Amino acid sequence: MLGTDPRLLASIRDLRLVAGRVVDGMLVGAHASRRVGAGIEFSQYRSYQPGDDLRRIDWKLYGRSDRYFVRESEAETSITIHLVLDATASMRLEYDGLSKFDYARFLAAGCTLLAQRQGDAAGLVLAHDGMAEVQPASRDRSRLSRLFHLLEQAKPGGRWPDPALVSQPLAAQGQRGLVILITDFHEDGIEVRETIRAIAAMRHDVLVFHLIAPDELTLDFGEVVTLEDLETGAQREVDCGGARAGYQASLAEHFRRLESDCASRLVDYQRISTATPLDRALRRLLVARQRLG
Amino acid sequence: MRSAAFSWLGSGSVRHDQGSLGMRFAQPWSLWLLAALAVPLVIHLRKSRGGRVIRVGSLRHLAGQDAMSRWVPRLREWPLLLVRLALLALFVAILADPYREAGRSSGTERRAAIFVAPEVLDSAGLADPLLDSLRTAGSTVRLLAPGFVEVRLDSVSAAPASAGPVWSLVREALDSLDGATDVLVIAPAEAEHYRGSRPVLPMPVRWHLVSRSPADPWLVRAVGIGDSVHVIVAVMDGLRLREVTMAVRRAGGTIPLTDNEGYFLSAPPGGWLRLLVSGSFRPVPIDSLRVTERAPVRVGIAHAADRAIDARYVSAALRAVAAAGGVPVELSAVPLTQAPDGAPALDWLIWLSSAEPSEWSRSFVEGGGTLLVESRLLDAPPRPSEVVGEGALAPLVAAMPGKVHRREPLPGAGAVLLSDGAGAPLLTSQAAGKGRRLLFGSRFHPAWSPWAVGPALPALLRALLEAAPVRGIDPRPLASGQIVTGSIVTRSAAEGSSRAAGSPLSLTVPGIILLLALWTVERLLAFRRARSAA
Repeated sequence: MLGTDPRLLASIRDLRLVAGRVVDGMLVGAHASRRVGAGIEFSQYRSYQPGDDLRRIDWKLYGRSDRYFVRESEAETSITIHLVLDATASMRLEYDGLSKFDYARFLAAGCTLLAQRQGDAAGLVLAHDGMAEVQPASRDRSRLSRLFHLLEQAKPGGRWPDPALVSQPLAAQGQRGLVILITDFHEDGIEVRETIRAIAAMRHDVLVFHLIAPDELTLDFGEVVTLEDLETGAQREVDCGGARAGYQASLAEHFRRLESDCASRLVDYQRISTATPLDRALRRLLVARQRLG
Repeated sequence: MRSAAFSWLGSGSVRHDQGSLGMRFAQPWSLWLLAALAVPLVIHLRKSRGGRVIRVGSLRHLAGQDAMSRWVPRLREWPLLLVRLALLALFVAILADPYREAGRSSGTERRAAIFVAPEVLDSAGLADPLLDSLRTAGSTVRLLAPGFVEVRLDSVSAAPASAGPVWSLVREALDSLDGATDVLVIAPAEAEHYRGSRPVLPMPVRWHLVSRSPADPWLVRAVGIGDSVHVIVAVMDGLRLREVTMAVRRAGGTIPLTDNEGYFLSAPPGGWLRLLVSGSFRPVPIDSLRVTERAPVRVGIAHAADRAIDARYVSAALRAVAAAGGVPVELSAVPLTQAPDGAPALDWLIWLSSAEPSEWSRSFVEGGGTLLVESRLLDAPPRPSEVVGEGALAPLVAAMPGKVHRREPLPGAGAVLLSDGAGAPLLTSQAAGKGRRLLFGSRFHPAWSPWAVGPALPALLRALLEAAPVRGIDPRPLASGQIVTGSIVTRSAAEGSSRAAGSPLSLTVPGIILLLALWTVERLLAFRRARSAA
């Protein structure tokens, strides 16, 4: 059983297959919980209650049974999921042979497939090299295939673009939806947080996956190393043992600030280690999806 | 071992300040390998600078950690560095063959007392290597005789009368010493000197027993010249140490030998030479014979017409040097106006003229030649003067008869080899380029110096011609066997120590054990470091 270990899934080249394995594994034994109400697809009959809409009484059944029954159908709950993927150079950071971008790619593919099975539309915005590459949201299978292809071909590099470049395509599509932002939050200033602010201002629901490599948390690179910034190329000699305490304090402050910013904008902030199985990360998506209805 | 041996040669106080271990090295030259300590030091410093490069998403959270992170790694890895340096230093120390002398307290002021029985101060006894070394070093010892008077061994000309039983004299001598004295007794080996009671001695005594049988000659050195080998053999002739040089032809099984002052050297098969001394053959071991090959010294003599006699005497003296062996000489006459291109290949040029040497002689000296030149003849008449040899030439000059007439004092530049009675230089040596220039303040003429017609001139020229330093009092190294062999240690009643006093204890095995322990520690530290790095 391959499971949903991201390191094992990385050996599969077909991104759709990876996503299918993750989603299938996650949904085994799960039952869809659907809302009932007005809609096209029949669900059930129930006795008429005062206050029900008279237009929903099934008059044919009244003719046969001489009782009032109300016809119920599944409610229309489909939404639009916008995936915003950080494809900047810092996402090339590897842990145990798996880069952050690979993890983000698997996560995005899983979200897309999950959305497809839920009947939701899915779109993609790739943020890299100072520009935003956009795949508009769609339920169409061919467009989803194109989205998967875009994910497969994407190569991380450069820096985060202007926040407007990322948020504008989401505004253009009009429909309020769920925006899933997958990033490592390595930014020069506050451009990623500005992007979140702009997206949240469009009344989208926002779910942020903050990807962290395990050794980023512990600074566990040995004794004396030279650390190189993936985005700027700057190097610095570091005694990891000596610098660890200060580093972790700074990192904790960074996390606290992110959580605070996100909470103030009603953004769902999820910090995920790249060693975490993908299905566990996707469950958080489902929780957010259910909250949207 | 050599330094340990020489600590006995000086009389008076000896301070043992080799540290708490009193450790010495038999091969101290090996300590030059300690320079290898720089290798792990450099590697460590290089590795401390940065280590491997790891790419990370951002360095933002490391801001403010920079200063600390640059210096802390060197401090953290010091234990490993120190262990590695200690490991290397210990390895070098083991190579240098460490040892310590047992039975000596360290860090305390100790005195050495050497008692010599008068019986051994005859010709046979002075041939003993230890006594010979003490004598040639001018050591002061005490006679093992009532009164225990101090004498300089090199001033003993005749053996004092025997003083009686050795043991009781030693007991009496030790009573006059304190406990912080190392005592060496040099006594005859014959049993008749130890008759009577032998009470326990109050302190450890190091014995050196001297057999008074006639000493065997020993090889000093051998010089290979052309098809012959010049063997220089030392032999005790009465109280005088003599060196006999004999030419031995290389080719053929039987070696025709030259008869030299009554000594006759023959070489029967079996690895021994035989030297005929006073009517009996003495064996000379040649197992350690090392023949030094030597090319002839090419000497050119340039002289003015009025110095033809000087040139004849110098030539004769140089031929005598060549005939005596040891220093081969090739003589040639050189015109005073010799052009540079036409000059024969020379090692030495002796310039006998009142005129300044020609210009080409300067380039000759710069190129590595030796120029012996008389100082310029001044108008002032020469005056007779005593001659004093400096340094290694001192004993040589002391044997030379008469005064020399000298010119005006030489310029003070260069090393003074000979000087007059007033201390003014008479023969100086000054380096110039690769060669040297010898300036002589007299003439090689019988009217100026009786040297010219005596055996002193060949001896002087030979000393000057030898490339090696002139043989002085005794340049032979003092072998460890001269001290250790034949020593007998008496048990001290006060200490009751069963250890051999003064015998060296090798520290090699403890050193290897310590080396293995250090290596284990080093591996442990390195493993922990590698694991933390992983």
